[in-house]
Amino acid sequence: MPEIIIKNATKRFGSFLAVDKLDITIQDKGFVTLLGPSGCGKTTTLRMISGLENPTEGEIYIDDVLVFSSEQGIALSPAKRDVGFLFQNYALWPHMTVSQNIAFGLENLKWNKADINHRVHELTELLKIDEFLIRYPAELSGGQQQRVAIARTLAPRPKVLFMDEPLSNLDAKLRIEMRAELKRLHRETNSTFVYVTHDQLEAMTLSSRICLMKEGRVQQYEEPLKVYNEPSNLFSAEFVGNPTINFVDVECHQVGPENIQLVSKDLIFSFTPVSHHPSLQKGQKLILGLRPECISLSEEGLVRGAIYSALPSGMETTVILKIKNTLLTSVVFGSLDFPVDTEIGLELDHDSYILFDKSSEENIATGSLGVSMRDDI
Amino acid sequence: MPLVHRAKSFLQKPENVILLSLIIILLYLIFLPLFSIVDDTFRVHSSELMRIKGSEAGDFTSYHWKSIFIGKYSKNIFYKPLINTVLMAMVTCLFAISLGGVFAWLVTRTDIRFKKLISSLFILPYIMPSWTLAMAWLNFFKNQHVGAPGLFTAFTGIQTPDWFAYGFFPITVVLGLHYAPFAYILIGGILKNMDANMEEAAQILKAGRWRIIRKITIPIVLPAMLSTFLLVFSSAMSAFAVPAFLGTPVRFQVLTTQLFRTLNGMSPGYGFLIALVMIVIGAVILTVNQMLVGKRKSFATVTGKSSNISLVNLKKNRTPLSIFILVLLLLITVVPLITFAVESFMISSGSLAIDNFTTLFWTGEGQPDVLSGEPGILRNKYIYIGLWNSFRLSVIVSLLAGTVGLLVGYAVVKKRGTFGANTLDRLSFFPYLIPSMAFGAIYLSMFAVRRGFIPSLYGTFAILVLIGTVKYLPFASRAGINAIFQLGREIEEAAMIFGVSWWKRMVKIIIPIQKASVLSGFLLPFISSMRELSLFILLVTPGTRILTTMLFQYNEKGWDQYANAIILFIVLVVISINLIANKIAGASIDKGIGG
Repeated sequence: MPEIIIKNATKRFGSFLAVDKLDITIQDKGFVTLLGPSGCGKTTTLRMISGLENPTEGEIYIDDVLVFSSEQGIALSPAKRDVGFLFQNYALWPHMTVSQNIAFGLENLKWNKADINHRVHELTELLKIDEFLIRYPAELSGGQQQRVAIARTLAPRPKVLFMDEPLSNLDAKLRIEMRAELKRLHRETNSTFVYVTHDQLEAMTLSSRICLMKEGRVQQYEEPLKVYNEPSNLFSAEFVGNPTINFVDVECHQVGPENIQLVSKDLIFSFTPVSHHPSLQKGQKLILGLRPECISLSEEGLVRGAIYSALPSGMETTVILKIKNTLLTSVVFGSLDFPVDTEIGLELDHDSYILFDKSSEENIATGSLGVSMRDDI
Repeated sequence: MPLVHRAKSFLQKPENVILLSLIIILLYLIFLPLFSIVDDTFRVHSSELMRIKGSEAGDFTSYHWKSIFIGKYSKNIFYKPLINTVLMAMVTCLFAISLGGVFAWLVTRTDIRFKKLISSLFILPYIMPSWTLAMAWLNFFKNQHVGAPGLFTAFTGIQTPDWFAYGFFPITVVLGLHYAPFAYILIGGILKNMDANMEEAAQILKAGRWRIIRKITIPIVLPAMLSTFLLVFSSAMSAFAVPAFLGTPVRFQVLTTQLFRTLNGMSPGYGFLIALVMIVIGAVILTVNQMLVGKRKSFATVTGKSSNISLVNLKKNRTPLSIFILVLLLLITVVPLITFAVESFMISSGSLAIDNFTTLFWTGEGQPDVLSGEPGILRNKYIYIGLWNSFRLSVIVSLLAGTVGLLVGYAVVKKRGTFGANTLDRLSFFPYLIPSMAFGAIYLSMFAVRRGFIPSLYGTFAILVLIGTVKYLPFASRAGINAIFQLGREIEEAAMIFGVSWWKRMVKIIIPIQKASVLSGFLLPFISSMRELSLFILLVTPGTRILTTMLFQYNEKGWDQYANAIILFIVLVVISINLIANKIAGASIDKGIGG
């Protein structure tokens, strides 16, 4: 069972702290994404697990084997970790043909010629590159190079596969196509995938778990939908989701037995927790998070605003609504357009609005909301 | 008239004017002389009247061709030196590339210590005149063949055998050391820019270290290595000073030494023909190089981040190896300089007795019984004239070549892909392939008489400036093309939109941004002309003597103390200029491979 356990891993480059006390377990046959903005330490983490880089401190187990330990002075080379690695720029060898590239790893394992040949053909058929066997990488398109790199990585049947932003050099259309193929490959190869990306959509759609990182620290490590619906903090909430979640600065005005009254510069909210009842102080500064799809537009809505901008995409329309000085983004499904500056009402009829503490930035509670304009107190 | 309009709008763009005028000038300065030299191989020269019976100077003759290629003495005059030259260049290449390649690998791919120091020290033999090491070799290892024995014999009492002290062996060692930095810069550049992921990918797929080097690293740097091989080959082939110093005592002749003998002697026709042969070999090498570069297995790959180079851990060998390499480098760079300093204070080399040391050669007024009464170096006005001439020549050549190189870069990049740009690109590189001494021979033949509006230039300072500028244009134009190419066209176009004039765009935008590249286009011609001998030796007259030609004469006379002192001067000037350029603009020859 190739489970990967990382304990207390820290990596410093000189005085720069790239990864800070990382503690995660990657389950067997999982598809885990390391997600975060550039410089958050995700690639370094991947390189540490694969053995291309050694942590400054910590321990790493792959399949119950201790592959790295700073205390015991163990540092297994990548070759001994039984892993595959797919590089962002593919790192195909320009002086070898497609089939030589794919066969190289098998030759290192001393496979016999017939088996190598068989495996190369199996993979090139799987990845639909069998017509390019005798071409050189420079003669292939980006997408084809990508497939060759995948075939080369899969050839020795690694139990664990590491991928460092493998789709970032492809154009948008090809990227979506390859995304589907990667997910299918994960099923077919029956192995553990660890995937680095800065694209939250890629992480959401592909993975069984997302490890969201920022400045070398893990922010949240959970299933994609959980990260989306119950972000642990402001960073998680903002990084995942497109269009971005709306944040409204509010102050706790009154704490009742059932609901909590929150006041922003233009609006008054009545928040009813559905998770647990948080303990709040009157006057505490808070931030309310509202996902765009949880803000509905209606002609009847009591709170009125004007259309600031509308971006129809055909399937849905992203509408920015201006209520006095507050801008809120909403997503409306269907082929709709809204003329700019028309007045429209707003309704908050979901129960997944999130309350964050402003100073700790932590998620405090999830709940439903009532809203009214501030000048009608 | 549309044609007039088209011509007018064509000439309104500065890049077109530059392109056109440079092509015309370079054709005149590079191609025309080639015809002149071919013509000279078929002419009777006045000094040859005795041998070519019944002829007048200037008559057409096939005498030179016959006696060089199929004559009674052609074996000794031509074929033997040719074979010596080819063998010498081959062995030099192999030595330079293995040494430079190993150093490049150590510095870019392992965790060896003192990388910066190693890199700067290793570059030194290339910055110094090539024969510095040859003279150091003589200082150390000469035997009684040429008078007093060297330091090695003085210290150990062991007599060095002839094969070790002179001829083929020391020539290839010295030339190999001289060109190893060149290989180091080229191969190191490739290794540094090569995507480390390619090696990591092989490592993950369980390839061993040697297999990675053999199957991945070497094949990927192979084109660069072949290219280096050819360039070093053509440089080694045209080396003159080193075979002249180390080969003469045992009569080891190569093409360049033959060229010098024949052109300076009674048979210039032979000389011009040998020069022509060398030019042809050079041209063949360029063609082969061009063919190798444009191949199917293009090495252009998707550029990704290759910052994460994981260095090979040398483990317990790290410190011993680092120290060994450092000591080795000190032995071939600093120690020779110290011997020059020491030898310039010694009355006769080979004796370390206290009374053998004197300041006579530095400050003496000149005694009639020592070295024909030549005054000491610091009192010798000829040395000051030589120093001034060398410096003046290098500065002017560097300014001219650097400026023209920048213009070439500008025109070639702006007109990229057009016939004119390709022509100018090749034309400006061509002088690289003409062996220095052959180039000198060409200019001797071309400008000895009045040509069109150019008066006879032989014996003038101008001809030295002219030949230096043309010969070092390849360095400057490579640097210029790089500088302009890296900049991209948008930066200049942004200024054009505002209506900034061409002159201002160059001075205020392009040059300041790329000052390091631009300056290195000036630096290389300076260093090269400061230490150059074979290019100038045929053209220098007593009035235009420069340090290197004086050095050569002192050496021929056996006045080693003066020769040693002059070498010190040259090395000092070259190294300080290199340091200054490095400090001012970060321009450096090794471009921070050890960085």
